[in-house]
Amino acid sequence: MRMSDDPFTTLGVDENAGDDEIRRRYLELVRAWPPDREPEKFQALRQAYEAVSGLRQRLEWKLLHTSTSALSRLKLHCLAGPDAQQRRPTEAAMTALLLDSVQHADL
Amino acid sequence: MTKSAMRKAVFAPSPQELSESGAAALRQGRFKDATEIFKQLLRQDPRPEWKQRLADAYAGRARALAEKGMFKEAAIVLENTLAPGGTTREPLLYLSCLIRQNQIQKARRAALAAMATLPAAEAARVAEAAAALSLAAPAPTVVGATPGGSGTWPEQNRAAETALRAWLQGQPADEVDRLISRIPLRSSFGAMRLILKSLITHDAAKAQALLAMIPAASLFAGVRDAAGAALSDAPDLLGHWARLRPAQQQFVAEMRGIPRDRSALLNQIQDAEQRGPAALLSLLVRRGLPLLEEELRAACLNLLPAAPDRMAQFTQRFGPLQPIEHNRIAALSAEARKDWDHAILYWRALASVLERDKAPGSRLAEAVVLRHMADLARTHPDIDEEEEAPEADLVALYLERSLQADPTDLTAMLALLDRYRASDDPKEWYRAAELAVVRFPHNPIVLLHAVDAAVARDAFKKAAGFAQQVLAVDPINLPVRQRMIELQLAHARKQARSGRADLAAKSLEEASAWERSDKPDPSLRIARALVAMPKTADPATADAVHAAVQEAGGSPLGWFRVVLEASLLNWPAKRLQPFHRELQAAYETPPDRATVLALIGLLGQRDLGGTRRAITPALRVFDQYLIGGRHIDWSPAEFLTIAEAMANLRCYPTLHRYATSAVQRDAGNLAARFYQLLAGSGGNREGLNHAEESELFSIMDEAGTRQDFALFNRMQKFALGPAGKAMRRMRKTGKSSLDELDEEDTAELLTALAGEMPSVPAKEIRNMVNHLGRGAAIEMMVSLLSQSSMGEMFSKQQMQQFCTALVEQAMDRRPQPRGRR
Repeated sequence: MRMSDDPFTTLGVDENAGDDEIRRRYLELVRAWPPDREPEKFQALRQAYEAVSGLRQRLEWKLLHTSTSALSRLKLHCLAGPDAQQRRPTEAAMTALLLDSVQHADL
Repeated sequence: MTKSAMRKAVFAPSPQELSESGAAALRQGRFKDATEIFKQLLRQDPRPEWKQRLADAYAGRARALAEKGMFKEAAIVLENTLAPGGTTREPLLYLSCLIRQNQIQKARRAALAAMATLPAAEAARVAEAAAALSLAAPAPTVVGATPGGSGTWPEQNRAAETALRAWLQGQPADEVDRLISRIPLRSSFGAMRLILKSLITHDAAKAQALLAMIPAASLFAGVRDAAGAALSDAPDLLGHWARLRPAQQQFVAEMRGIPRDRSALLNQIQDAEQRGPAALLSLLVRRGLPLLEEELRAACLNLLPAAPDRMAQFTQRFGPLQPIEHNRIAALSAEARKDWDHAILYWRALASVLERDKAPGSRLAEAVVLRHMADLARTHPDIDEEEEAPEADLVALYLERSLQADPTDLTAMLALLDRYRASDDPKEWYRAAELAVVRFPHNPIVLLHAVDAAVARDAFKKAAGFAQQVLAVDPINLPVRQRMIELQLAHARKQARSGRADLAAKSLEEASAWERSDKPDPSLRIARALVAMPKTADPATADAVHAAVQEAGGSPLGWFRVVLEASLLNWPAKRLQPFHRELQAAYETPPDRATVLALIGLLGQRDLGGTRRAITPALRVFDQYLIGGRHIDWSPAEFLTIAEAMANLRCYPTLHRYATSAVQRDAGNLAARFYQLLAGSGGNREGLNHAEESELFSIMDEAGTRQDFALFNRMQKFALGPAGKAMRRMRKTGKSSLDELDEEDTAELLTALAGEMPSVPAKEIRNMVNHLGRGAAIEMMVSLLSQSSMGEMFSKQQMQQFCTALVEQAMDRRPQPRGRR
């Protein structure tokens, strides 16, 4: 069994996504992480895209590997707030953060 | 004075001695001892230098305690050095100890006190700590020292506090921005200004750029990281979440509105991940998440191969697995255990389920599984054989099935072609190549496979057709154009040998279409000239041969080409009569290094298209020339090339003379000694006498000692003969140990070996059996063989079998080996 970076997770797409959706997502990500500015990230995206860009490759991944994308989606669900609105933290959280920052800095 | 007091006074060390002892304790890091000594000295005489030494001792002791994590004790020790201004001997260490004990106000006061007394670099750092502490625990500020920025410290502090409070209270971004602008960027609160600015900015890239301006060593770095995480997109946040400390996670969760139970669950998941797949699966099955049942099942399903013992938990929660899922999980789980036999069993079951499945994509999935099975069979040759086809090459079998399920899979097709090429089975290779060309008519790799497969079957015309298809795709591929000429030439030779001169001429004409105008092909030119020559000598056409020879490098190499080509075209020697004078001249030219090597290269070219029998007349001519080259001082590499070419062409007498000359030049030349033996025996190990056989094994030993493995392997190939081939084939099929040979393999090997036993003729064996009896004769043979090189290769039981076979063979009761695999 090969355990490696899951291309579905890297691209942030469902295992059942089709060619068009995967390509669209890949192009979005490449626009966000262009190769001239983020060569390593782009390389990872490129590899992930090539690994699942055809039906045969996707089947190979789904059958022969253990995908982590469902687990990733679960984790993302844990991090999801009720909306995209940004909130202000409580004073206690801010105080704790400032103290934590000073405590973990090297004087 | 009492006696005791008097004794003490007499033996008490002097202050000077005590001071030296204290200094030594300081140097040696015995700070507690040093503290006691200098305290004692100060009680006698409060000298400033001793006060200084005592402070050094306290500082050293505090550092030692802090290193052990005893911050409270370290701070107490340092307080012994408190100056009237509130600073200690080690202000940074003292501050650090107070912060770690969570004595925030005291730390803040210590930082503010130290700011004015420290050098600029340290003061800036302490000021930043004071700034962070002031914002964390606001209190009236009484210090006016300002390490950086405009305005006084209290003013800067007030501006930062106001801006932070405004942001926390949810005031509009414009208002917060106005307040932020009052914080001097170069002050100790500058980092806070950047953080607040990033938090009210709507442009994510700009916000991250602002945060990136805060150095990693800043006292605000922890706040910066939390702000960065809060502003990042969800996948990035997920990537960072495990690295965030609880206070940072709390800040991010509040900013993004993440419910407390969800962030706690995420922490539990990440913690369980560290403990392994079984722990994670247990957690997920137990906890679950509302509305995410499908995701939860998929996540758990993917964890099952690594935690198969949790299957019951899984089925209890999500119900039984479908056959496809069950077989896949079982196969992946077996692979994780490196249990390849079971893995292939489950993959086979999955392929079978998919074959029957009517869902779209099932056949494609079946092909993928079968290709994976071929990969497994190739990388693990010890996998149990397929029940329904026990004799088959599993790799080829699975690839064939995969291609039946998905005929358009180029990867599987190329893997199959490679497999057949390596298995020395030209018939299957050619069949597969022809099929591949139909399916992938424009793929150059497939087409080149087809060319090679056709050549392996001497189907040169067909091979030329495939090469032409490559050129249709890639017209300027120079190596393929050259190959095209060679193939047409080989076909023409074949036609000429079968008496179809007209077809040969046609093929040569077609070949000339691929010639480069700037680089004529010498073999083609010569072949065309020869084919065009009528059977009766004609000076006009002979001129064409002369011209071709000149183009081929002149005499003597050009004439040797003519001889070789004439042989390949099946010319009788007398037809070369018009050129005898030139050939004679070629013999008279003393051989030189370049010509001999060129000639050897000529004989070793691929697609020669002629059997050894066809080129025998040419070899006779070349021999006369080559013999003269034996005295050239060949380098080891040159000698090996020549010797191997001669051995392949079975030019043993010439090879023997070359090897003998090389041994005369250098008696330590192992390769020359070996080829001398090989040529002397006519290339047949059986032709070696006992002394020569010993010599062969001694050269092998020496080659092994010198780590000349290429020569060693070559000698082994000669020494083992057909038995070696059988053993190599068995190694190829994965039988790594002789002990693991099955009956059939053993029978085959024994037959091969028995056929190679010239030194024990059947008559002698029969005599031994007649004199000693069957059992004792076999025992004696086993004993004799155990002392030979075979003794190292075979177990006693195998020797016993072997000798029994020999005896039975000799007594004409040889068991018939079962069909070859």
